[in-house]
Amino acid sequence: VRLFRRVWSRLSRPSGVIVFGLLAVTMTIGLVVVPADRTQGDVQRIMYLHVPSAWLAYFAFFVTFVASLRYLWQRDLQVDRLAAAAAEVGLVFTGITIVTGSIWGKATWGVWWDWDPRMTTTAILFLLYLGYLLLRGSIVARERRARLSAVLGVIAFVNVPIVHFSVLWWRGLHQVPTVIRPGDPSIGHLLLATLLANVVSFMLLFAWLTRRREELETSNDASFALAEQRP
Amino acid sequence: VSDPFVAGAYILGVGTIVAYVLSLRLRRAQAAQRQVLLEREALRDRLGHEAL
Repeated sequence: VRLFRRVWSRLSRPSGVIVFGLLAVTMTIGLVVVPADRTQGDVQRIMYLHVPSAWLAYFAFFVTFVASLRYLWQRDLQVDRLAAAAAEVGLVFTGITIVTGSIWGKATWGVWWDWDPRMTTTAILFLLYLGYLLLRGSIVARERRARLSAVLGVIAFVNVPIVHFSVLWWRGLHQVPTVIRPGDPSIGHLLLATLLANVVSFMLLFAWLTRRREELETSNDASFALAEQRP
Repeated sequence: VSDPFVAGAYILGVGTIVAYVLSLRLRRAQAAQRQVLLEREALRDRLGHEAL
């Protein structure tokens, strides 16, 4: 936990200029520099936005899971703020994953939406963390809010591996994993390098956004503390 | 890239990120403003109490 906090403290302080500059560079490489996929053509370029968004969301919910466990163990409100911040950022990127996936689906499968296992479990993931944020918003007492949200933050994370392995467990339209899978990745080296470069810039973006959101949560808590002190 | 699906996906994706960053900035400014108001009120309460 101490190591996690130290790594988090280091990684969550990149400047906005570096984060957004790197994001612009890696996205431009994916959009115009690397050649188009031989089978899908230009449409495959959606992968450089869709996959990093999905992995960012998985990681964000993992952070919420770890921070929730830590809150239940140590009752530290600072980690509750981190859990809330990561959950909100994860929800935004789950939304981006669903929308870009739907556009990619229309271009390749001919439909905007299908009740395919991956798409359905991702929609459930979105609703679970939307519920998490609604729960937080509906409880004023800070300790009670933190405790109940931490319980939900742990339970909701169960769905993340289900989303990832859904394409292996059930048959559907969505392709099986191409990178995080047993054996070598099943995409070309250049495409894989571009994808991983985008994943790195999205992870820095996650750190930057989560730190900003955490600061906002701290500021809100300070305001509530001031309001509570009033006669 | 001239593909409308790719353009649409990137416009929506990047647009959402930009909108989220702006919402964070706006909420941060509102929180700072609220904190200043509450601190001012707390000071006024304390000064009023001391005057009594």
